[in-house]
Amino acid sequence: MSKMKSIFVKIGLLVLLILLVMESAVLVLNYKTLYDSNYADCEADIRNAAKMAVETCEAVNLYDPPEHADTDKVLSDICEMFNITYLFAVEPDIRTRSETYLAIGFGKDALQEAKANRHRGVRVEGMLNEQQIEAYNGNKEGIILHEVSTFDDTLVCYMPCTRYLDAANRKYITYEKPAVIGAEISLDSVNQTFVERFQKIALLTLSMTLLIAVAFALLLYFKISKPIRVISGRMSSFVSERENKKVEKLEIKGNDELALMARSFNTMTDEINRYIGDIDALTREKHTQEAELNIARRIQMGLLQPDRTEHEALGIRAYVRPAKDVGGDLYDYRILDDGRVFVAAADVSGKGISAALFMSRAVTLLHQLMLTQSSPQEIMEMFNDTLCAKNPGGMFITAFVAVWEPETGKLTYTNAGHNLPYILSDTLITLDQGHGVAAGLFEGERYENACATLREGDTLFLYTDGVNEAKNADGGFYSTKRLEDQLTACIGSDKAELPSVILSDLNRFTEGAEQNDDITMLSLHIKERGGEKTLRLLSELKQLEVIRDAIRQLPVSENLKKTLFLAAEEIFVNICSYAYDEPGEVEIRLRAGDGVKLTFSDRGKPFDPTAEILDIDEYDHENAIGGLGRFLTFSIADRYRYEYRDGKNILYLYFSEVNQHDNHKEA
Amino acid sequence: MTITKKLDGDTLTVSVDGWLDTMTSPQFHDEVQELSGAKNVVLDLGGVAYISSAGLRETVALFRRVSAQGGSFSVRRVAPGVLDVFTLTGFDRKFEIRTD
Repeated sequence: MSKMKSIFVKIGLLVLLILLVMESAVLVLNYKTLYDSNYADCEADIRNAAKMAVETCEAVNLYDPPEHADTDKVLSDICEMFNITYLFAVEPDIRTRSETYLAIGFGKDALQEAKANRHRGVRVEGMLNEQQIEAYNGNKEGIILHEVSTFDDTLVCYMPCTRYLDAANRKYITYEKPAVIGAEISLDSVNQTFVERFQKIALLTLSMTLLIAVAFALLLYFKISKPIRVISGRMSSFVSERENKKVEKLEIKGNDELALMARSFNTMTDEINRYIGDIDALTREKHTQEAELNIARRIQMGLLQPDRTEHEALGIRAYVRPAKDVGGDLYDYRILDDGRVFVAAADVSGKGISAALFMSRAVTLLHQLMLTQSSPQEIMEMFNDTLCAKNPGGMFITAFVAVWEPETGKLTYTNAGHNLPYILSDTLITLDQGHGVAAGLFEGERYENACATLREGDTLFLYTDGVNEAKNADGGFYSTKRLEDQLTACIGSDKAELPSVILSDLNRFTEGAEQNDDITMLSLHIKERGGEKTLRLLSELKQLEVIRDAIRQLPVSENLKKTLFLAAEEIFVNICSYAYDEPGEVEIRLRAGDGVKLTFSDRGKPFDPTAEILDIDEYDHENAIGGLGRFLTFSIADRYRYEYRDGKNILYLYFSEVNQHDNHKEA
Repeated sequence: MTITKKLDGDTLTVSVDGWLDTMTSPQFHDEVQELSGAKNVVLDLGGVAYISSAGLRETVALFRRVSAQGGSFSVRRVAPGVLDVFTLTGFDRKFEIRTD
C-alpha cells in the first residue's frame, strides 16, 4: 500500500501540466495581440499629440515667437498628457537635409542628455528624413516612422504646421516654409511597461492556475479518492468483518458514481451474505446427508458376511468397495453343517442409494436361500422369482452362486449374467458354463447347474465388473486380460489371499483416478491339509526327484520317509517301465496323518502289481530280474490295495510309523 | 554317487558314497565291470544311506561274478536301513553282510 501512487495525484499532475501548457500557449498568442494593440495605442497617442501640438503651435509664429510665449512648456504638457517622450517643432532645410529646432517639449521618459542638448535654435545636420520632407510638403495626415536602432526603438509621427494666428490681425498667416511637428515616443520604455504588465498578468494567471489545481486536487481527494479508499478498505476487510459479524453498511452520500459504487457494494455484501447463508445451509444439509449415508454404509456392510473366514479346510477372503458411500455390489457365503460351502457374488444394476436398497434385499434373500436350497440352480431360480415379484423399479442383478463339496472337491455353480469366475489350480480355469440371464427381470426363468473341481490347494475367485472395468487416470480399463495375468501369476505363489493381491495391483493401476463402479472380490481357497499333496507327473524316471521332494516335506519320521522313498521308487519305476508306450500322466497323492497314505493312479495298461508277488525263497538269483521291487514294496507297506476304475490303475498303499518290515499284510 | 576302487593284493575294495537306486545303479554297473584282476571283492557301503531293488540287483550280479571266479564277496559297513533291505530279501543268507 505504501508504494501505491494515487491515481488522483497522477490526474492532478496531468491536469496541472495541461493547464500550464494551454496557458503558455494562450499567453504567447496574447502577447502578440497585446503588443500590436499597444503599438496601435502608441501610434494613436503620438498622432493625437502631434495634432494637438500643431493646433497649439498655430497660436504663435514659431519662427518668431513672442516674448511671453512658452511653447516648450506647452509641448511638455502635451507630452505629459499623452505620455510620450518628445514633442518638437523643427524648421527643415530640404537642401541640406538638416533641421533646426524651433521648440521642444519633453515627456517623463526623455533622456537628460536630450533635455540638455535639444532646444530652440539647435541645428542638426543631415538628419532630415523622408517622412519629415513628406510632412513639410503638406501631408497633414501624420507620417509615422518606426525607427529601430541598436540602442533605441522609437515611433515618431510627423505633421506639418503650415500657419500661425496673427494675434493683431486675427487671421492665420501661412508660413513660407512650414514647420514640421514631431511626436516621438520611446517604445523601449513602453515595451518595458508592457512587459511588466504582461509579467503581472502571467504571474496572476499562473497563481490562479496553481490555485485551481490545488483546489481540484483537494476536491479529487476528498470527494473521490477518500471515499474510494473507504470503500476499498471495507472491501478488503469484508471477510474478517463478516467473521466478526461486524459488517456495517456503507453510508451513501449524494447521487454520484461513488454513491452508486457504495450502493453496489452494499448490494454485493447483501447478496454475498445471502449466498454464504445458502451455502452454509447446504453444507449443513450435506453433512447430515453424509452422516446418514455413513450409517447406511455401516448397515449395508453389516449385512455382508465377515471379509475373512478361516476354516479347518478352507479360507474365504472378501472385499467390497462401493463407488459411492453405498453401493449395489454384494458377496455372500455360507458354510453348512455338512461341510458344504456356498459362495456368491452379485452386482445390482446402477449405483448409489437405489442400488443399495435393492442389494440389501438381495443379500438377505440369497443368504436365506443358501440354507434352504440344495443347489445353485435352485437358489438362483428362487432368487430370480422372488426378486421379480416385487421390483417396481425394474432393477436387475447379475449373480454367480456356487457350492463346494469337501469330500469330492466338486464345485457346482450357476451364473446369472455375471462376470466369469476363475479357478486357480495348476492353470487358470475360467468357469464359463451354466450361463443364464441376469436375475430380477424374467419371472420363471430357468438356470442350470454346471460342474468343476476345486481340489485341495485350489482357489475359486469371484469378482464384479468394477474390477476389470476400473479406469485409470488416462481412461484405460484394468481389463480382464490384466486380471487374468495377475491371477496366473498368483498360481505359483499366493492363492490364499487373492483379493488383497489383486487390490494392490488395481490400486496401482487406478492411482489418481476416481472410482467409477463398486468393486467386489471373493476368494475361496481350499487348504492343502496336513502335508497333503497331489502330484501329477509324466511317467519319466527324472520325475522321481519331484516325488522324493514331496516325501521330504511330509511331516513324518525320517525312517518312514526312507520306507516311502523305497516304495515310491519301486512303484513309480514300474509304471514308467510298463504302463505306457509313450510317457503318460501319473497322479500321486501323499496324505500324511496317522502314518502315510500313498496312492498311485495311471491311465496305462491295466496291471495289478499285487498279483503274483514274488516268493523270495524262490527268487532266481541267477536271472535277477522282475518282481524284486514289487516284493520289497509290499513287504514294507502296512496295507495295500489295487483297483482298476474309470480306466485307471489305482494302487493304495499305507505305511504306519511303527516298523513295518516283518509284518506286511493284505489291506 | 561316487565310487572308489582300491586293490590290495588279490582283494578289490569298492567303496560307494551316495544313494544306490534306479538312477545311479547303471553307473555302479559300469564301474564294477572291470575288477582289475582281483579275486575277492569287498563292497564298502559305508556311504550308502539308501538302496532300492535296482541297487540290490547290481549287488547280487557282482556277487555272482565273484563267486563264479571262486572268490569271496562281502558287504561291509552297512547302514541299518540298508541292512533291512538285504535281510528282507534274504540276501544276507547268500553272502557275508557286516555292519562294521
